[in-house]
Amino acid sequence: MARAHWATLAGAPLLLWFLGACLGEEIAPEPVGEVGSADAVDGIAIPVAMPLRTPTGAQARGLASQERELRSQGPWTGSSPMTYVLAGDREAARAASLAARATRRAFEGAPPVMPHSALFGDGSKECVDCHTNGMRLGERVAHPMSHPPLANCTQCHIESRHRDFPPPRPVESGFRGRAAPAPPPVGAGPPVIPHQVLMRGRCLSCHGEFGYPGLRTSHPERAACVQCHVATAPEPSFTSSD
Amino acid sequence: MRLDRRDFVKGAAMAAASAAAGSEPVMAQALREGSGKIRWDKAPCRFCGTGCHVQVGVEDGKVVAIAGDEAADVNKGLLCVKGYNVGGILYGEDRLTTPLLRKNGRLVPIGWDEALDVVAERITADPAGFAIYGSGQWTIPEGYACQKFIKGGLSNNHIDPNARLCMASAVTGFLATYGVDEPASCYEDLDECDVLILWGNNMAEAHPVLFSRVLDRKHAGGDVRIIDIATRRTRTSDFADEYVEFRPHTDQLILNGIAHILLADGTWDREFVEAHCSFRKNTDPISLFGEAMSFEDYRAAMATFTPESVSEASGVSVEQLRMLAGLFAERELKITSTWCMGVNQHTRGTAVNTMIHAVHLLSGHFGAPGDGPSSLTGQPSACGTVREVGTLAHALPGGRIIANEAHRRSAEQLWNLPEGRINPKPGYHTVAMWNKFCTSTEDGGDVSTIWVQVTNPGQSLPNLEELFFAKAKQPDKFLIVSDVYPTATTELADLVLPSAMWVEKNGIFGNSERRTQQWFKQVEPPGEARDDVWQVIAVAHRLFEAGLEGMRDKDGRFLFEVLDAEGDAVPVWEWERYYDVNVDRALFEEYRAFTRMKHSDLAPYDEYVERRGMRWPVVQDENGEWHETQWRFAEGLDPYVEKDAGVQFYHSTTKDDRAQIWFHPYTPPPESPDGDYPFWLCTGRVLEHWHTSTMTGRVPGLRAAMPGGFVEMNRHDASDQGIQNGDRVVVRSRRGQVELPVWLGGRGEPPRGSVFVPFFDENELINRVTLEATCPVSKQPDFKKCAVQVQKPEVQ
Repeated sequence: MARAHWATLAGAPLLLWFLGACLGEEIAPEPVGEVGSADAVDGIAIPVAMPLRTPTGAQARGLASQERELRSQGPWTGSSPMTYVLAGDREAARAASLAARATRRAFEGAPPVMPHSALFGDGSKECVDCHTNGMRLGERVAHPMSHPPLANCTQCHIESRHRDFPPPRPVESGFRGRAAPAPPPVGAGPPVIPHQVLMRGRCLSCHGEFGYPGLRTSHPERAACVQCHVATAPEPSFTSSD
Repeated sequence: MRLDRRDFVKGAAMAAASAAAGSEPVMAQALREGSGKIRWDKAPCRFCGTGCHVQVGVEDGKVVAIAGDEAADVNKGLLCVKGYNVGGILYGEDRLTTPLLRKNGRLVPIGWDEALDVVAERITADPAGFAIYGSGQWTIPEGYACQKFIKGGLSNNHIDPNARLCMASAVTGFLATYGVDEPASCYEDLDECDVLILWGNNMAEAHPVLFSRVLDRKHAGGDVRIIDIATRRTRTSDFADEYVEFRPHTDQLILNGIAHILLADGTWDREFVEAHCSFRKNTDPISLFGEAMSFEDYRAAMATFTPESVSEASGVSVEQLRMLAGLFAERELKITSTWCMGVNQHTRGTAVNTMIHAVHLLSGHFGAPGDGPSSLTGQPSACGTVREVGTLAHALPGGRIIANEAHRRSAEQLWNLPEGRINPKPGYHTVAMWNKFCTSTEDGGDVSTIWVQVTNPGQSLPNLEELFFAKAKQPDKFLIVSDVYPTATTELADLVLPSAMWVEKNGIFGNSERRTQQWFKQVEPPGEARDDVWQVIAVAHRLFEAGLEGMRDKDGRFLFEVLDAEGDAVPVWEWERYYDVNVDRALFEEYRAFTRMKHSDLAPYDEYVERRGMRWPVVQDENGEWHETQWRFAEGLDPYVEKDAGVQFYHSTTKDDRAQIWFHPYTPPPESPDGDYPFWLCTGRVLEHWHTSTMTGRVPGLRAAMPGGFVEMNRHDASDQGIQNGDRVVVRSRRGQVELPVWLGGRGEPPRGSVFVPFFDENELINRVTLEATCPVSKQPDFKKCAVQVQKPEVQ
């Protein structure tokens, strides 16, 4: 269970300022997410705000060494120029994110439903305003689309409930959708991709700053994800049956 | 208030779920412990005529995931929301799992033996009064088995499909123009066209993956123009470059208007027409093949369809008419026209179909990739099963027709039947069949039993009161329904037979671009549900055992004798033995022989196993390789076109390799808005639900997104009556009425004087309101036009 370490929290802005001064950059500390916000689950406060710019390679190297030092100071809940979350219970954060993902999908691999209504008379053109690169509006996060741009968004992504009509009487269904795969084992080397890549080739959609907090990568600045993280899940592939 | 028939399974769970009203409905999913071993296999999607391929993920005997099949040409890994949810349709809690017989007004469970006996008794008692109502969602073997059983076995031609309600006018349009059915085009046209013209079809919702093929190309910078010719604004209109709104039924005028301009301006393609076309007009009475017409008479007949007069009557501006004609005038432009129910469900459906072909032929926009008319099919196998196997009251497999003696002999020969077995009198088409069924025997209602398979006429027939509910007043009539869930049709069924669905059985579909696609059974059906093909064979064998001559071929063998690899007969009418051998393969190999006559050649079954479908004619080269055909009638693309022919319509009705350019005058609709019923009613589909939503309505996510029917109304019409978004209104015609909420500001808007109601809602059946008038040639009803009142309930 992560708890705000006030000493660290108080010290963080100072440290950031110091780092910023060192690097010649202005880094504004941002507030921790409040319990009850979109990124707080089960009372775990997970930082919601991340710096909006990507450090350069040199900065990253410098930050990396600072990161190791900072990490050694204990559970990290303050904001940081590093863009990873080191919440005290990483597994819980991950589980919470996977649960949030699952509420919007009929099965692992299904297109998510919109947790909001289709806006503006529901032309798909409006979707890309928020979902091309992702966006944060207050407590809400619009994830970037995980697949290449496709023109007819509402062909696959439907509303979770009808905007204007009351919900229907529920139906019982025996369908149990496939679950998300188990996380890859931690070992030597970068974790493998345990899920299918079809329609999920834009990794930062989930693993970047506008993705799910419990799934965030420690290094979004590295753009060629698949250089290190190889796909292992067999893509749904045609089997010839007899 | 009607009881929701899904209350078949009641329980605390349901009540609790209802009590949690106000919470967001959550998709049925689980972070659960499964074996983790998922087996993937291919199948075409269960839904529309696009025929996307999916990968089906099965774990522990159940479908747990669906993915788009990246290797499929049709959809290249993309699906629509229905396709993504196609796995869920198998698992509604009220699946039919035992045969049910109505006793004292209630359906009670019985065993299969008794059920088969009941069917056999009904047939034996009145073999000429027995009818089969089938489906464009039948697999090819299912339709073929029923076809052989009733036409080749019972000498009875009363077999007609629900595709009579969706594609019949497209069929007659093709026959009247080219002498042979089905599109010459293929989906690659969508990748090649410069202009896509939509004639009254909401492609964004009805064929979304096909529409996306054009949209994605456009959004990636491709130069393609989309023109939406429609009677109301829809999601499709939002994507179109031009929206051309016309008054219902005046599509006939627009098409004549375009032809008029091409002729007047001299921009028609003289060379193409002189080489490859002739002209045709109606006889009196109207007939499918009409009579010859000279070009001069054609031109003279078009003279009255001036832009001004067409504009006045249709509401389309002269500028827009000239714009459309201007596109066709440009010979180098590649124009693909698509159309579906707006043109087919039309009391002049055959005519409008021929007129779209005519505009393309007249302007020479035919025969090159991206350039040609492309009729879209609604159901997944209306092409593969209904049109190709010929499961229509007037047809036989492979493009043969009952009325043609040589065709009957050919079918008898291929089925090894004694000469004369096939009845020379065509049977009842859909509207006539249900009419006779709902009419008392004393009054000439000479259909006494209908066996319905894979369709829901109790919700999808027009004018339900007359064509379906009236059955309740005929106690001697018997309705057999093979289906998977309780439906509007099972409400009046006397015998219900639980059936396997989609990947619970082997199957083959044929999609909109002539692509035949095969799949294997991947999961077990629930309870006692069994394959429809087995049901027909089992009934046939009952009759065979009882000595019915019709169940024997010329050599005394059972009509459905299936041999194993050693050449021994397998008793496939015994359910335990049914999957000892692949019955689909056996029937398909037998059926293939029929397909050569009209050059719709099918390859051997095993070739389809290895692929995501092939488009016929599939032709074998000298190395034994099978090759599909993308475009027909064009040299180099169609293997049956002779060298140096260029374009050759080798099934020409005039036997001279020419296609027919038809002239049709304007014919008004049988019912138009008037003082008492001042609105046009149009009906159709929405993205989330397939047809009568018996399948999609049981997928929680789809149901939540689109919970029920609605009346889409023009905002000014609504405000005139003080109607606000969500208010309930009564939609009433001379035939019946329903009450539904109004949806303003939704995904579309009709013009003043028009409303749209989707037909998926099983609690408020809009087909109580619709009109059963048909095209005189195709016998397809017009679901898009009738006259209604739209009023708040308290207004009398």
